[in-house]
Amino acid sequence: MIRREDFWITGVGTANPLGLDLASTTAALLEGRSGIRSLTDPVLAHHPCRIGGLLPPLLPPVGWESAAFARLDPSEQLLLYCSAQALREAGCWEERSRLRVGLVVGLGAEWMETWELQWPHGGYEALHPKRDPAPVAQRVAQQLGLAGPSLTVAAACASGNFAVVQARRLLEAGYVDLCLAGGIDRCVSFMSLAAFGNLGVLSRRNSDPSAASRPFDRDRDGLVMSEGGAMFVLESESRARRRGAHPHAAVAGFGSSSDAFHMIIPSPNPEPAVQAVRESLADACINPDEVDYVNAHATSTPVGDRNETNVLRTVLGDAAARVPVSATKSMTGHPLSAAAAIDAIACLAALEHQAVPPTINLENPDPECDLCHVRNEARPHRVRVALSNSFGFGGSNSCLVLRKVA
Amino acid sequence: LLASTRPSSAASLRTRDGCAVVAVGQVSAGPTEIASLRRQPDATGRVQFSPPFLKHSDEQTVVGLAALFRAVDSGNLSIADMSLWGVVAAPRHMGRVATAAILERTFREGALAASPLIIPHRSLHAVSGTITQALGIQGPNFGVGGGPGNLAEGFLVALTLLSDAQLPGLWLVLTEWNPEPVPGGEPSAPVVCHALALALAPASATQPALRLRLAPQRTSVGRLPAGTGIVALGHLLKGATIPSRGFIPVDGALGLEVERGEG
Repeated sequence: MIRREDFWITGVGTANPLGLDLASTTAALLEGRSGIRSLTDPVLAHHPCRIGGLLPPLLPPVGWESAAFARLDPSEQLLLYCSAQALREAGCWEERSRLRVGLVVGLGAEWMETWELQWPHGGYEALHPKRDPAPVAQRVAQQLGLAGPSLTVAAACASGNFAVVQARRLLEAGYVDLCLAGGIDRCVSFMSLAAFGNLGVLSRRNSDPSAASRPFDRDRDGLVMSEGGAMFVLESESRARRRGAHPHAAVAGFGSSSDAFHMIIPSPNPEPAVQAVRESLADACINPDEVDYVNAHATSTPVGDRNETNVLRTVLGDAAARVPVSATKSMTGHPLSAAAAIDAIACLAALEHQAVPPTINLENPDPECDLCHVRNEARPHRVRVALSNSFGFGGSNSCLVLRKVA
Repeated sequence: LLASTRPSSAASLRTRDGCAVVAVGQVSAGPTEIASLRRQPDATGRVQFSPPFLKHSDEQTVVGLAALFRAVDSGNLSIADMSLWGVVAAPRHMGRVATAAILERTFREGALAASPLIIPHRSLHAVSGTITQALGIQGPNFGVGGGPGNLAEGFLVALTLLSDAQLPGLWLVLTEWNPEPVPGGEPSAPVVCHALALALAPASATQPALRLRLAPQRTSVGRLPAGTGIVALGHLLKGATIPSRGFIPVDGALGLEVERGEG
C-alpha cells in the first residue's frame, strides 16, 4: 500500500547487557564488546549452560522513589525504565499526559515469567488466579500516565518487530499521537535456562563466556540467552518536524510470514522467510540493491544461520556479495522477546554512525553461511537503509526496514 | 485497559470501514471434551492430524483450533484459499496449570526435569503458531494480550492489521477459561475452556452480512446485551437477531460497532 506519510523513531530507551542507554549500547556495539558473562548464582550450578547476558540493578527513572521502584517486579522495572528513557530522549516527557500515547510491548512469556517469580512465595497457592497482577503493559502505562491503548504482542523472538509495526498501525489509523513500542524480556531464569537447555539449543561454552555466542562461525554450539529491553518512541514525520524532533530513523517497511512447519524447528523451505523480507522491501519501496546493511537474526545455531543465509542470498541476489551482514547477538546474546528491538538499535547505530557493527567471535565462517560478513571489527560504511531480520518459534518470520532520514 | 481508542479525525477511511465477519465458530469444552478435541479438532475429519500434532498443545490452543474449524463449516469456507491469511490469537492466562506442574517438578528435581515443551506450547504465540501449521497458513501469525483485556487487545490489533496489511482475510481467535482451573487444587466448579474464532475480511472488498468497527464507549449507537465474555460475544455474533446497528461493549473504553448488511 502507498503510505500517506512516514513514521519516525524519535526516542530510544534501552537496558541490555551492553549498556543502559542508547549511547553506551552504541559504543559497545561498534567496539565489538561482549555482554556475556558467567552466571554465578548457586541455583544454576547444575544447569548445563551457565552463561548469559544479565542486566545490572536498574536505577529508577527520574522522579521515582528508589524503594517504590525496587518493589516492582523485574519486567515492570525494565519496561518502565526503557519507556521513561525513550520518552525523555524524544523530548516528550513533559507532554506525555496531554497526548494520546500508546504502548505496545513485545513480550512472549509474561505469565510464565510472572508465575515463576511467584512460585517460591507459596507454590501452587501463589499461582492462584486471584493472585495475578495486571498485565505489565497496563501497569507501566498507568505509572507513566499514558492515555492511549496498551498492548502486548508476541511472535517469540520476532516480537519486537511486530510491536513496532503495530505502533505504526495505531499511528496511521489515528488512534494515538505517539506510541512507545519495542520488546523486553527478563528470561535468564532458573526455568528458562533449564527448559531451553533441555531443548538442546544453548551453548555449553561455560569456560569462555564472551566467546560463546558466535553466529555464522563453524565452531558455534548454540545460542546464549540474555535479558534486556528496548523501547522506541514512534510518531508521524509531520508531527516530529513540527516540534523539531531528531529522527533516529524512519520505519520504512515491514514484512512478515509464517513457515507453517513446526513450533520449534525452522523450516528447510526458505520461501516463507524470503516472502517476508521481500514484503518489507516492497513496503519500503526499495530494491534489494538499495540495502546497505542487514542485521541478521542469526542466533548462533547451525540450522538457523544456514537457513537465513539462503534467505538473504535469494532476496539480495548478486548484491549479497557486497551488502554487509552482521549478527549482533554475538555481543548481546539472545534476549528472546527483546531480541528484535535490541537488534534494531544496532541498525540505528549503523545509520547514525555510518558504520556497521561487527559479528564478534567469527573466526572460522561456516562455509554454508557465505555472506558479506563484518567480522570482529566495525566497518565504516555508507548506510542509508538497514534491514533487521527476526525469526521466531512458531514459524514467525519478520523483517523491519529502517531508513536514514535526510 | 484501553484507556483511549478514539481515532482522530485523520483516521484512515479503511480503518473506519471496519471489517466483514465472514464466519463465526465457537466451542466451549471441559477436560473430557478437550481430550477428544485434542485427537481430532476438526469434527468433519477433512483435515487429518497425526496423533502427536496437538499432544503437547495447551488446552486453549486445542479449543481455539476446534472453534476455527466450526467457523470454516459455518461459513462454508475453503481452507485451501486461506494460505495467505493472517492469524491473530488472543488467549488469556494460558498454561497456568501446566506451568505450575513443571515449576513444582523442576524446583524439586532440578534443571533436567524441566520440560522443553513449555516454551513452544505455553508462550503467547502458541495458539496462532499452531493454527498456521494446522491449516498451512503462511501469512503473519502472532499472539496478543495474554491476560485480562485479551478481547479488546485482540480486536484492536486484528482490525488495524486488516486495514494495513494486504491480507485477503484474517483469523481472530479468542480463548479463555471460565471458570479457570486452579493449580494444585480441586475446582469449586466445573472448568470450561471457551474459544471464539472469527474469519474476518476487509469490508471494502464486499458487502458484508455483518460488519465490525472499533468504537469508543461514547458511541451513540444502541448498546447490545452481549456482556463482556467470549461466550456472550459469540452468541451475539452468531445470532440472527442482531439489529441493523448496535454497539457491543468489550472492555474499558473500547467496544465494537456491529452493522448488519444486505449481504
